[in-house]
Amino acid sequence: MPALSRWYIRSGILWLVIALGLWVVSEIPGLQSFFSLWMPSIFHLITVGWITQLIFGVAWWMFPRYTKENPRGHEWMGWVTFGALNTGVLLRLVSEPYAMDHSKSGFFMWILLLAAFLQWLAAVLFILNTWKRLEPRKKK
Amino acid sequence: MPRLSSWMIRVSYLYLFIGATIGALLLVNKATGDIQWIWVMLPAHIECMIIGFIMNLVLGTAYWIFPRYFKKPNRGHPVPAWSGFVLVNLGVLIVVFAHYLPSAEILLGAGRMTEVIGIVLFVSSLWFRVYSPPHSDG
Repeated sequence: MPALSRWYIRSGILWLVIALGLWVVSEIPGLQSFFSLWMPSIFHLITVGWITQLIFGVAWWMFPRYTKENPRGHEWMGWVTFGALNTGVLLRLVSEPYAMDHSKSGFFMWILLLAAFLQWLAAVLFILNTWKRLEPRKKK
Repeated sequence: MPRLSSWMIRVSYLYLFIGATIGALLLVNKATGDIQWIWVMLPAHIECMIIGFIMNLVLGTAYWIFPRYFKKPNRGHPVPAWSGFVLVNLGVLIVVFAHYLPSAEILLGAGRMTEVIGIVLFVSSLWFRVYSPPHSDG
């Protein structure tokens, strides 16, 4: 399994554990109202941090290869995608509950804007980097 | 990679792009409050990401990678699989547009039913490919 895929899958598992841990804590009586603002972020830890990242990691590993010399496309783009996805998810987790209160300082607003851009960028880079690996097999 | 899998995964990428773009705009609005109208796109975001992206990619990959039959057609008769692919995506389009039409509960239900029928058809083409040859570990 290539290193990038290992990083994707292990990071995905980590986000899943963190998300489930936060979810459990959010159910503790007395903490529910505090955590109510975190629920969209926790949900996206699972859907983006875990599921999408697992898909990216396994696709990078398993999709048909280009050539023996360059089997999976641009490795650098894969690492940038990984960094953008995980940084975006982390920044979203720390800023989303606070950014929604627009009376507070703009710091969290800018962090959330960066999170939005990085997650979107990760999706676009993944598509660009793996699109050509999906060429249908030519019939002999 | 078989043609159907190529189609399904590339279509899933299209949904990923659309869903991620809507999602990013939703976050931008959470941050700035400047695009309030974007909240109406939340059902489209959810449908694109869950059914459009994840479902198409998972089923397309399964069609490619599951064990094949010894006799042709190696992946089973193509009609259920292609029909399933068309119906799932038709259902997604119906469901997305139904959210934005007034009093469209019946259309929404029809779209969901189309998705379900599509998934059942597709899964029926995969079901017997889930097997282990005798005397093997996997």
